[in-house]
Amino acid sequence: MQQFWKRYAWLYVPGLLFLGLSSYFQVLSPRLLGQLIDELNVQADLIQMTQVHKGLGALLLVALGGFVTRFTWRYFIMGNSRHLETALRRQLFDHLQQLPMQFYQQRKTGDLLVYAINDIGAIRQTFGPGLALSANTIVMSILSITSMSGQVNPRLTLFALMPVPLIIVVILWMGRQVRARFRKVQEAFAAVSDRVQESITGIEVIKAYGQEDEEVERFEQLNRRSRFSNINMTKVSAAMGPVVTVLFGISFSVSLIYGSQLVLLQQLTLGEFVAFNGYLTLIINPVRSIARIINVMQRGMASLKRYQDILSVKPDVHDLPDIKAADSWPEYMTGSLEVRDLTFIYPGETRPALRNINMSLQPGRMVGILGRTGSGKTTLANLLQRLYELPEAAVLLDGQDVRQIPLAVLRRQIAYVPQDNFIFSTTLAENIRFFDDRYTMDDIRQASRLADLDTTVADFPDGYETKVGERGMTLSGGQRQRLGLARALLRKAPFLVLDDALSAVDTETERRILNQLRQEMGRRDAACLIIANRVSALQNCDEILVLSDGEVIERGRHETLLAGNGLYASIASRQSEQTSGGR
Amino acid sequence: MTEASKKGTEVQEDILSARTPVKRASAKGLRRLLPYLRPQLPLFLFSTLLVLVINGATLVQPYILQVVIDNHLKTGSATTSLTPIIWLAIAYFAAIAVSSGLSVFQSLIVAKLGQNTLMHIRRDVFFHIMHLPMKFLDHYASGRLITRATNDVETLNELFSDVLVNLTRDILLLVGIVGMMLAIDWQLALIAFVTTPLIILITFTIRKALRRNFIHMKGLIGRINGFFAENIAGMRLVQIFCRENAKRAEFDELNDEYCRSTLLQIKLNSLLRPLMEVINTIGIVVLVAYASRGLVDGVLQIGVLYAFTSYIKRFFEPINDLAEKYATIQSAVVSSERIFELLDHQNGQERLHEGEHLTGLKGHVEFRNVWFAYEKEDWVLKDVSLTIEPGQSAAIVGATGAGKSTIIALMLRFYDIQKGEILLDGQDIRLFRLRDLRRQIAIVLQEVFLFSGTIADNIRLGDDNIDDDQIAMALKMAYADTFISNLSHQMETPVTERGSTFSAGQRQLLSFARAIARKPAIFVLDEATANIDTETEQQIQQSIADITRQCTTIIIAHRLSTIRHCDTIIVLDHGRLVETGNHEQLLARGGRYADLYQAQFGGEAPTAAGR
Repeated sequence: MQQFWKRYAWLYVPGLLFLGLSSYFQVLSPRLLGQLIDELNVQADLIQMTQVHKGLGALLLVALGGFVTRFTWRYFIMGNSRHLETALRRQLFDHLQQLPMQFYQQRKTGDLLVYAINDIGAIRQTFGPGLALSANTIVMSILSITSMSGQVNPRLTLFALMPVPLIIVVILWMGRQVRARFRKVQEAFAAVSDRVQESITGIEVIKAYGQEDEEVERFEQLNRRSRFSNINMTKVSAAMGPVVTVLFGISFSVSLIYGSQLVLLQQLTLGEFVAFNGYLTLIINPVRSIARIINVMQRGMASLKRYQDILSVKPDVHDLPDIKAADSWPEYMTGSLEVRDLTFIYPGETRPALRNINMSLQPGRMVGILGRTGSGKTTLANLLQRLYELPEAAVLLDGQDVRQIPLAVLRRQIAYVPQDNFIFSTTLAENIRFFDDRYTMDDIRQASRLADLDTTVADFPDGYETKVGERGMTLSGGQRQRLGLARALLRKAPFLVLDDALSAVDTETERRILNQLRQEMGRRDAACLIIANRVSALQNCDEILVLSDGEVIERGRHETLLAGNGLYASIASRQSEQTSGGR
Repeated sequence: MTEASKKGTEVQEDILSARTPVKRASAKGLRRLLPYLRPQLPLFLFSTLLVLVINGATLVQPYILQVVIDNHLKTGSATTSLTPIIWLAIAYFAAIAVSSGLSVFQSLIVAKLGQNTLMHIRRDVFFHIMHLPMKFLDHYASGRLITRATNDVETLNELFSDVLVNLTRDILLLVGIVGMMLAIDWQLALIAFVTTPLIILITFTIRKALRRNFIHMKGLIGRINGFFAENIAGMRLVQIFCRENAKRAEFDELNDEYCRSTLLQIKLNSLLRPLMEVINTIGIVVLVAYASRGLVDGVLQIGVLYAFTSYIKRFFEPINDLAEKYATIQSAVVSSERIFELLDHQNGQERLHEGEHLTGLKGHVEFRNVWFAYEKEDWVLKDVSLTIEPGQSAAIVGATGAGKSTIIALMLRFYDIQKGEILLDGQDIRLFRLRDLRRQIAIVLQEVFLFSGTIADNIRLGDDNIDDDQIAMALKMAYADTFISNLSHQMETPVTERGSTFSAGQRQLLSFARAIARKPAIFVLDEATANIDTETEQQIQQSIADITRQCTTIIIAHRLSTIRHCDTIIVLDHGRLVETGNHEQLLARGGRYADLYQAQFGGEAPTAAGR
């Protein structure tokens, strides 16, 4: 944004200046043409060729001047609006990157996109075409009207411009009508597109249930609505131009009659009369654009406000002032990650999501957390990374309050694997490397091996270079999870957090991965936190915490917990009933 | 069906070649539109007639002014009475009124014509897609189908609403202007046309560049929006992994490139119109310079000169329009070719209503020596024979790729087999009406798809024979009633965002209810392994047990625990049926099933056999 203000914003000044000049040239040309006609409108033998040639020369010069100035103002003003657009988009992207998780949980991706596309577009329209059109309308109207009344005849001007207020009213009214109907057209189009998209995506279901006829019938209704709304809009939009033309036709007819009379009374020369018609023509377009200007300005202002609202959302987690700068910290820290008496309440809520949690992640050890949906497992994982603001001295890394550690450094220490791994539409390798060029193909292969992803990759057409995501191959849930794990393992961070990260992987593979993980963690002397729904994922942990309603209600090793008759034992028995029929 | 998708690439390439280079875009693509336009011929002829009147009324306007000037105002021939001028002014206004009024009418007619045509095309495309065989759908990316039915059809809309309205009008207007000028003074007219080739050349050149750059811009903005969407969705990961800077750099690059291409667009745009004004002025200057000699000689009237300058100024608009339309027509040709490429793919369109009616199916299923391949000789099922008695429950097990899902797809006739027979109640399934067949078999797919609409709509799925009571019953039987009773509008609650507000387990229960509500003769379950919490998992198991008691049930099992109680277990291995029997029998046999079972529940060190 600053870059825009510094480098481009001032260009509006010459832009507007050239716009004024260009209007001036445009207004000059009817006058020159009129003078030329007057030169020619004499007895044939009185025509002075040198004067005529001079007039023609002037006409050409004015045209050239018009060309240069028009090109220049358009380049400055329209170009500036594009620079503004680019800067706004960059600013928005930067801002979105800094916003906390909470923001994304409240707002849907789609909404954010609408902001990005529509609002920025509308703001650009206001500061580009909108600005230029309004300036042009004002300058042009003033210049034409003063030329008409000053150089030709004030009364003729008054008579000729009489319909203009009516024209403006009509334009505004019809403009509103067209917009309302256009909205209906868009809605109808969106409805058709949505239906198409849904029917195609769900075509297997439609076919399996033999619902094709019904689906086509439902589509037909929307299809007919689309046709109707289009025709309905055309009824007004097609009338708008002609109605204005007819109303201006009154102006021209009036000027034709009264102007002719003035010529006959010799109060006006033929050339002046012709020039007058020229001025009148120049006014048509600015008047016509009034409806558009108002529309563009209104939309732009509304968009600007919404845009600023988004920008005013402040990230609630950020580096505290007075801490050591990120580059003075080691790449990876040693020591343990400790949670001390952590109680956490989500902003805006009253019930604590976590209560008095105590936990220690020590190098080489594996800790497990078991709990039902909503028990606070993921909240805990998020807090370890300080995705929400923490109470003081509740999470400590190597004995230091993590709030005193720069976010970038803290998050570098923790390799986190969520349940749902987002896959970017690029190659597999890039997804594992996660846009960090420091890692080599060997690193990637090794991490993939640990995550049991290597055999899957071998089946893909282009191996690690296979495109995945929206514009490539789709991965199954289990493949996505293993990719997420490889992504995290690649980093060789001292802490690994698996947040229900193997839930879509079959039991056998899960066991194999966990065994490999156990060895790798021992080799690296790294700590691992496994959060899970299934007891099977936790059996090898050094310590297991059972979370219920934000509190640790049981803790201990698998065998101990199994022997007791708490929640762990009951979940375990129910799950083993399911998976192995009472074994 | 995963087996097929791997092999689909070749066919996909063929279809990709439908992206014809613009150069080849001939009238061929448009000719295919003719059958759609033919019913609209009367409307079209009427509109052309109107255009003739409109253009006449438009072109007479400068002529009237010329008459006023030459006959009444010019030095030497000035009249004293205003009356003839008033009459001429009335005629002038009448001409404006007629051309304007009729052009509203004409636009409406063309809009109607275009929208009628478009509606038919859109319906045909949608109908066609709905009846495409699975074999085709496997190979054709759904995104591309969606583009055909939305964007490509919309490009045709542009053709009809934008081009068609003005095309005849513009061409006839050009002809009219030329004719008018020639009629008034053919020598002067020829002089006035000196600049015309220049106008046409420049306009078309710049328009072409504009179009090319516009396509580039559109591609870039699409990528930017995609980038935005992807990063917003994946922001959590970006933040956790601290990849903000890398992502920003990538974004900046796209953003800057887009900015550059928009600047080029501005430059080109700013060039076109001002340049035309200059050329027009040159034309007028040449004209006046030439004409002024004629005036001196007394052979030329000054009003003619005025009329000519008006005509010259009107010359540019239709040319510019045509150049613009030309680009639209080009993309319309490409779109239309793509659409018809799809519509032409007639082989294998499913005929849902042909064959014998099928009602009251008992549920006896038999496969007799079935051979099936998605592609040529690449057999997915090899000589499979099996029988499932009415009311029995059967499970199909086997490793991924063994052909489990294929069996279901074949029963629904998503594909036709190459050798052997599939019989329902003793009759070959190819005899039955497809629609009836599929309605007797209710399948619960692994990935639950929920449509927009209410929960009830999703259970009913367009079948109005299913009333609210039946839906309530089905929901109860699927154990979905408890969570639904907690929703704001119970079963009238709208499903938003494809049902992502529900948990995976809840979605699964809804799809159970969907199948149950149809009271099928055969119930098929492609079992999901997704992350379902323990409680819902139990409800699902209970529901399956209930259904199993009521009709023939086929379960494709991934977790063996769920199918232990099935009457028959069918074990597939690489497309061959290797074992059948119940759980105990198979376990005792110590064959493939026992291996699979060991791999899932066996000791600490499982063998690699399961993979």
